[in-house]
Amino acid sequence: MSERRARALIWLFAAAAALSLVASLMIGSVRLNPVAVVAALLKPGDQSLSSAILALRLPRAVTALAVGGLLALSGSVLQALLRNPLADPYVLGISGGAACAAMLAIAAGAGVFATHCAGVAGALAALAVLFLLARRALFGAEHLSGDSPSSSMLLVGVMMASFAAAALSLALSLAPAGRLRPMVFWLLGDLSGALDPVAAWTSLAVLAICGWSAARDAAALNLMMRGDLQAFTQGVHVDRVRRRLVIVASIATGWAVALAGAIGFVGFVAPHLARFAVGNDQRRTLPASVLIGSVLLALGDLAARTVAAPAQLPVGVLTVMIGVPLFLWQLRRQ
Amino acid sequence: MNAPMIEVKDLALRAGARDLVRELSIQVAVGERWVVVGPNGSGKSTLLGALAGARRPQAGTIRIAGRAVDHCGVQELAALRALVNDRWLDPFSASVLDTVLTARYRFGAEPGGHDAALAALRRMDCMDLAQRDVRGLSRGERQRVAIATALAQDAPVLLLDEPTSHQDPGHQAWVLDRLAGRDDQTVVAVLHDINAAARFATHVLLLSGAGWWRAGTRRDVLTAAALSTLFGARIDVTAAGHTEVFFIGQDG
Repeated sequence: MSERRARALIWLFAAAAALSLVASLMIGSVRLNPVAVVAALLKPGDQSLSSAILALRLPRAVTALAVGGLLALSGSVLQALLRNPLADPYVLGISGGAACAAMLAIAAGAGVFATHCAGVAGALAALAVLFLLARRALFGAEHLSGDSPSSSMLLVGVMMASFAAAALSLALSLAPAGRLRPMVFWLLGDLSGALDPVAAWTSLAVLAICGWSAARDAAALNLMMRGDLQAFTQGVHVDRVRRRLVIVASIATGWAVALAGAIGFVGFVAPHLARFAVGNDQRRTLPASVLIGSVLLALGDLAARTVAAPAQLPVGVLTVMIGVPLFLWQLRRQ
Repeated sequence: MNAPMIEVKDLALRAGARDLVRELSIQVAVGERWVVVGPNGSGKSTLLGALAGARRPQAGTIRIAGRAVDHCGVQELAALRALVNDRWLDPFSASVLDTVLTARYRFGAEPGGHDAALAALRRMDCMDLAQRDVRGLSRGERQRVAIATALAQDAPVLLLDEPTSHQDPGHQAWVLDRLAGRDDQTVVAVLHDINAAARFATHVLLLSGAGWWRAGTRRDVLTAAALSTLFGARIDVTAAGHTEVFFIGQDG
């Protein structure tokens, strides 16, 4: 993989993300042409019909891009950190923790921002439990012995994810019948509630901050993928970098889950596609993964609200349906 | 005499409740090649870990180039010593060149990294592997790439934990001769093959794993009598031309 080709591909993915944003704004019950979309984007607040439609579609489209990017970032960081292509915020129970906390916040009647914060807090709490239980493997006397701590951490994560899933099922089975349908929708992953422009732009800012923070540690992550002891002898603050990246991953996951529910496959498949496209140098894999995740979720949400219109499908179902064939195709190519 | 490159003073290492070594004091001068010899579980890798600054000893101090390793920053340590063991992990595919380039991390974004990595690969006779995927290498090839990675770190001290465990006899001798070829490189290596140790070492450290140790020049320390005691097996030596060959003797 030449560096020039990788860089070109990353620009290509950025262009695809921009295009998928424009497409999300164009397509819907009323179709806009691209000129009108761009004109309305450049001149917000005028009285045209396209501006009015844009005000409805823009928050959802931006949220889709941000949530896709956040999930992909989290998955990408965790896969490299745990040296395991099966790692994913869902597998590790981080999403489960976020979902439990966010659902509790919703049940308690919390506002939008409080729900997001609850999601992040839930993700961090899940992570704290994970680290506490896997502490021996991560921080014990032997943690620099060169053995990988990831297998025991993965096992603990799988157990926590199962527990969170059971807790959510319990909440569902106890919920009154009238609230069931929106709750299920939210559990499957749904962006139809993303109408708040402030939340949308804030999410994009969260993605930018998380992405910037992870990018700073990308070179160190390249070394840590090959073993903690090795990375330490080569000059990496292994514990420090891991702590930072784990916090970034849980903020990204918590925010995404609180905003859009349990959309599972993006964080799993986007890093795979990114690795396939630009290789395993995390300095390129991370940005590529974020952009691919954004595109996947933007297109997935576009399909979710148009395929069976006027009915809306949960986007979490569609991302899996788009992601699985892509994943299998990639697996066959390798 | 110059100041020692590595200075170990009153070092104690413990594994659980077991004393591996007590009051170990050695001085390793620039360019010396020390081989640590001892039975399984005697603390050879633990000692290398302590020398690398990855494991805190129970007592004593370790200095590399005059700097106490437990007071060194991670980056500073990386400039002092490189470590090779056989626990490399390749969870995702990557080219051999990219793997060797990880050793240049401590230099940040520097232009000369590629050349240094290629030079290290050349020293280990791995130039033709540069663009191959590390996951497709044989264990012997992967081990030479691991050694090349350590060489690319450009550290004055090399710590080698069984660096030739996956090499065929020809490559074992070749790799060790290559590593012995530089007078400015100080090496501490763990080797299980006594004859390879005898060929490579300028000095030898015997570790019993029960606190007892003995250190000195190869000629003084690496004797059939000392090795027999150390391993609890009868080890004989015979002359073959200019070299001595150790072998496990027959009792009775």
